[in-house]
Amino acid sequence: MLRSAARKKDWTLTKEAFERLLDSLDANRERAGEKYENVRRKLIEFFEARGSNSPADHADQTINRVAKRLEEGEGVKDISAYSYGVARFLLKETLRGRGKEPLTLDLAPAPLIVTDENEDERRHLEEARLKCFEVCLSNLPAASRVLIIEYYREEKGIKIEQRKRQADALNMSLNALRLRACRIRAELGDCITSCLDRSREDTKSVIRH
Amino acid sequence: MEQIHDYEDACARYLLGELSEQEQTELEEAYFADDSLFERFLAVKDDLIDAYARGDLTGPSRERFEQHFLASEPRQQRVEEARGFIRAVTAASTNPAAVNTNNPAPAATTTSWWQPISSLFASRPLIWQAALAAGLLMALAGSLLLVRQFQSRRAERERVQSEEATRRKQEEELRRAQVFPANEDRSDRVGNKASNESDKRPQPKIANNKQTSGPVPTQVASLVLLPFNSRDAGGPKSLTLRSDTTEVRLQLVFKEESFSRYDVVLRTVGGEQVLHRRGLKAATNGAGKSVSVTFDASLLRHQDYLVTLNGINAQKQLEAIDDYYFRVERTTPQSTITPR
Repeated sequence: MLRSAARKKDWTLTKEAFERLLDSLDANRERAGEKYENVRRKLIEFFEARGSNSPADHADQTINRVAKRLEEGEGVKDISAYSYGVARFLLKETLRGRGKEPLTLDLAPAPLIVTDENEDERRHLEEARLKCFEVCLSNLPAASRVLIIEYYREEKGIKIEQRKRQADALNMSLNALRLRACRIRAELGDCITSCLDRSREDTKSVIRH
Repeated sequence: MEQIHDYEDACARYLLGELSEQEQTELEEAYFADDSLFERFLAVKDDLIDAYARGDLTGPSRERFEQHFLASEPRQQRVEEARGFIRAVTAASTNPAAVNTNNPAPAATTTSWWQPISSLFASRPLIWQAALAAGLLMALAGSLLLVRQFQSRRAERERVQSEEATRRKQEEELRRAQVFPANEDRSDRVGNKASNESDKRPQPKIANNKQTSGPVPTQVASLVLLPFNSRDAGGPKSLTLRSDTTEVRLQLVFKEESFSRYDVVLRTVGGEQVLHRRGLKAATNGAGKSVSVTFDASLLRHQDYLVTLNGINAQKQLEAIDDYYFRVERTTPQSTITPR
């Protein structure tokens, strides 16, 4: 995960600069890593909401700039808030570069993705994803598994009403249920991503042999 | 409490691009400063995508979602992922064997969720043990029910896969036959309810009508569309969707045009945009070209629809190619199809 920070655009992130960034986030390295991921996720959401087509790249550019400032000796009390400020500058620069405001769907150039391009590949990936999903789902604690299935499964009727009933049954508010479902889904998503990576590695290995 | 509600509402409006610049900045500052607010923001976002993927988002919200939220490619991917996730969860909800036995490390699975539960009994007072036992009994009863459903579900899945393969083959044959139909009467080939008509308009291929019993996991209704000819007075052809139809696949047939990418917009006759797919590629067969688009059946209501196919030229500008017209009729699996 942390390797994503090594991506660079304007400035090369050195190991020392990255260490300094982590130190600024937390003295405990594990917690620093978590905080780093959290800031990065916020930055991605920010750039995504502001119309970036490369939110992850922009997030990494922002982090690089923050790391650079720290290396230059700038005292930063709150990395998260500081990162947001830097992100806003980067966004303005990007928009200035484009010479226009964020584009709406109707005006935006065609995305590079091609949805129907390779049906076989898509199906293969879909099957692998489904398999990983089943494995990861089975690895969740039983209560989480039941909650996530109940929350997301397709049913007849209005979903929001069903979720209210689910929240009542669990004796929690709808917002609390929503948060819990979101957390479990994120956990599941991480597991599926790792599983797919492993699956791809296995496939490559089979091809090599 | 009101503040909590306000925050969730603000998040939704932020995601739909309905906040002013200042409001956006305030919201962003808030979630950058407070992790719990960021978590709530993510939850609202998940719910919004989920609602759209299910077709629960309607009216102006849906329009805003498509125009603003779906403006970037990463977000379009999120919606696709959400659809896949809903399908997978729905399948898993009736497939406990898939959940529990396809695990590459079965031992780990066995210990991962049974052992902690059994350890709860060892360390809790009697009243807790009773409560836990009751809870577990309920879970067990549910699981047994699910196991019973699994066998029939697996058989259904195999049947659907087989039907899907047959459908694709038939669809390909039909497409070949329909590319240059100018002077042909295709009514005998289509096999639809309007079998006495001889026209050049879209002919639905009602794969889902072949199903005879019980709900199945993925029901695809497929429709091969030829360009709409305004001189045809017979009205649109129908695509019949049963309540258990989950996906619709539209295949837009057109005469030879040279574009590298295509853009498909689906609208109601009233002009409400239902779907916008970009960057599609055309498939070519011996006789011509077609562009296919697959989407959730829940997006379609019982009404008429217009589909516009545009080509994206080298300057990334849209060029209109053809319009297509069809009617959606929603029916229950038991209902009888009445010829129009």
